[in-house]
Amino acid sequence: MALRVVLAYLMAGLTASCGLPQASAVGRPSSTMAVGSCHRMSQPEELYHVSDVAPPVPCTHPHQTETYLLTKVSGSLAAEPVRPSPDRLRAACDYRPVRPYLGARARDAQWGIEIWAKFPTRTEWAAGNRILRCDLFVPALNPDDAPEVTTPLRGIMGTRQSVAVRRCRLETQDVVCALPHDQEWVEPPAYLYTEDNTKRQWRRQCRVNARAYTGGPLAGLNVTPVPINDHQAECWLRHEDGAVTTTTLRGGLR
Amino acid sequence: MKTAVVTGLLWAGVMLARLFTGGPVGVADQGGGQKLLCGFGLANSRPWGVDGADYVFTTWESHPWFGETCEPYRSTQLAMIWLEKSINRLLWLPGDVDTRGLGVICAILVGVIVALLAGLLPGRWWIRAAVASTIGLVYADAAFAGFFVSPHTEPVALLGAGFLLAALLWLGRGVTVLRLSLVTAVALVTIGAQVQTVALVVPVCLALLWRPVRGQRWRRGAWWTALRRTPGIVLSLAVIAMASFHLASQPERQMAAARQALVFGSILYDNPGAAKDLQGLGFDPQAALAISELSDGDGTVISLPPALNAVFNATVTNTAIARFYLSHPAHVIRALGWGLEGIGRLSADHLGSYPPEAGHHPGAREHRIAVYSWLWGTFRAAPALLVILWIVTFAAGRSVTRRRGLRPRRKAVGTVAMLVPVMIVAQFAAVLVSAGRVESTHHLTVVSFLTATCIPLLCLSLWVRLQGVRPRPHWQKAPGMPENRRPLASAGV
Repeated sequence: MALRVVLAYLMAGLTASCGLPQASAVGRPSSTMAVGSCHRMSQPEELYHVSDVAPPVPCTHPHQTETYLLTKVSGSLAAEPVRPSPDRLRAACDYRPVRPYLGARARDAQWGIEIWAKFPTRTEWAAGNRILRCDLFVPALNPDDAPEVTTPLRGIMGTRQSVAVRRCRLETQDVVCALPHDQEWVEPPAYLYTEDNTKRQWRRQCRVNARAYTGGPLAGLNVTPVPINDHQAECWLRHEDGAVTTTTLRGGLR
Repeated sequence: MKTAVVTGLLWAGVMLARLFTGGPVGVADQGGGQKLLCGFGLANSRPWGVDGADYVFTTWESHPWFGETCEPYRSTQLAMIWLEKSINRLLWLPGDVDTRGLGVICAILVGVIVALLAGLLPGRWWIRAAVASTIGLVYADAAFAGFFVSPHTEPVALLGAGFLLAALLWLGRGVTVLRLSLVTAVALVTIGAQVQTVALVVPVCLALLWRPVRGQRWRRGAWWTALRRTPGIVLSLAVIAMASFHLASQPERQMAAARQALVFGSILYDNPGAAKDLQGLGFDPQAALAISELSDGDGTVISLPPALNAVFNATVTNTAIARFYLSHPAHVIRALGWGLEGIGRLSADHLGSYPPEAGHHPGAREHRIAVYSWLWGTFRAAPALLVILWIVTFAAGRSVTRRRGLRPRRKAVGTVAMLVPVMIVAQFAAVLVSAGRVESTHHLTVVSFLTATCIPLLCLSLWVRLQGVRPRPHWQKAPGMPENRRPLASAGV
């Protein structure tokens, strides 16, 4: 015992452990996290790490992820005494609650949002915690910047901030609508169940969809169909003068 | 003394100039730095989307880490970082730690090492200065200097190796308890640098046990002779205990990940007999077959199903790996080939040298001083020559130590020339057994450094050996002969 103590002190001195106690704070237990909590991860290591016990931040402050679901791991995975590898646990995050969480209606399509799972720490898993935290992650507008949003994602599709998660296009490059763009995706795409559909038929169907999307007449707007196959075409809405904007044409937003 | 001071100052200046003139250069970090510096509550200030391997980002700022996001790697390099942290503001550097400050500290320490070597080596002032400078040149080479401006653990390992050479030279002049203690202290710092440097225990214990402490003439007898060995034995045991503690204190998860990387990255790499070799590692035939079928043989670490993962963790231990290599000579030869190729490459070329503002392309390497890198072209072409260099250096050292009538100062060169190849072989084996083929050049940096020091050590050993070949008439060595009447005194011999 005495030898161990001596060795510990010697090694602590050698490895300058004087700085180490502040290394990793205990944080907040995973089990106390709640749906709707927001998480700031200013270092890539924090985002990519399996667990996260850092205290949540207010969703109006810069953050990277927002919890949309807390789910319990069940079955054979839950029975394992040691936390399984992340790639096997990630599938446990159900994607179906995402759209209700975002407040998306039938004519809203979210784009660019990713699902990230955070697991209990090894200690928490060993203690019986099987709660899996499923977060939504909005990538950065600029690839060099840390991904950060300053607005809650819960119900975002009904607000003008939804530009951060809607699909637009600048010339041929897909971008989120918060970035400069000249076209906007209309949800849903046009479907025609007849054979030999003409360009005019596609345009007519896209105009119907676009009117429902904007919530009114298409004054000053053009809609361009881009057939994907014989029965389906993407509809892209744009200003007649080709204006580049960072707002959305979706109607009825707060 | 004057030679030592001037040479030391010169090389500290050379190091500072080569690291900072025209903008700082270093070695980029792929994530290992976070494991080291997060222990101080620090995070690297770099743009989010940038690949850390492309550029050098010197500034580290305070950042709270929570839970498992920081499982710090234990290394004596932490002491260097702590020192830099203490003087960071004094150096007018941004953040809490800046690796440029580390570069300044290391440059000064290189100067100290060169000064110590210049003071301890034998020969006339210009020989001592020249040989010490060739060691300084190794530090200044593009393959090693960049590490001093980096968050890697190599700086303390490289500096420790240099101090160890100096301490061994001093010990070689005559064994005293003070000198043994100094070697032990320096060795502990060096061994604590990395997991692989633990292998230095072997040569260090050899050095500590080589000769007994100098005896006093009035104390003779078997008891006193045994007692003279006691300090060496006690200090060797202390070194072994500390090295074991260093290994045991490493985060188990990192060690397990290293073992997985070794099995999939080296043992199963491009291996048609994978299942059989896995049985050799201790797996039962079913598990061996299952793992070999999951492995692509391209060196990628795969995620095993839970049952297999548990079996893997229980089966693959450090002892199992060591036993496997001892019983599979073909794998030893394969690993030896990768290792020699790794040393032959000398520089970890996948890690950039410049900060982004320097305007170089991502991953660009600097070659400000590249004398050894240039010489290494020979070893790149024929890596087997490395083994010959080690053997020849050892043989030359042995020849010097066996030469009778040499002054201790000169004999010490032989001792060091014998110990350095032992250090190389021990360290080389440890790296191959712990890290294997993956990133071998980077992991073998200390081995490459010691190999480079073999060149000046070999030259010096040969010089010392050949000095003794010319017979001298007895009257020249006769006691009582006045200095000015020695015919060779004017030649400085």
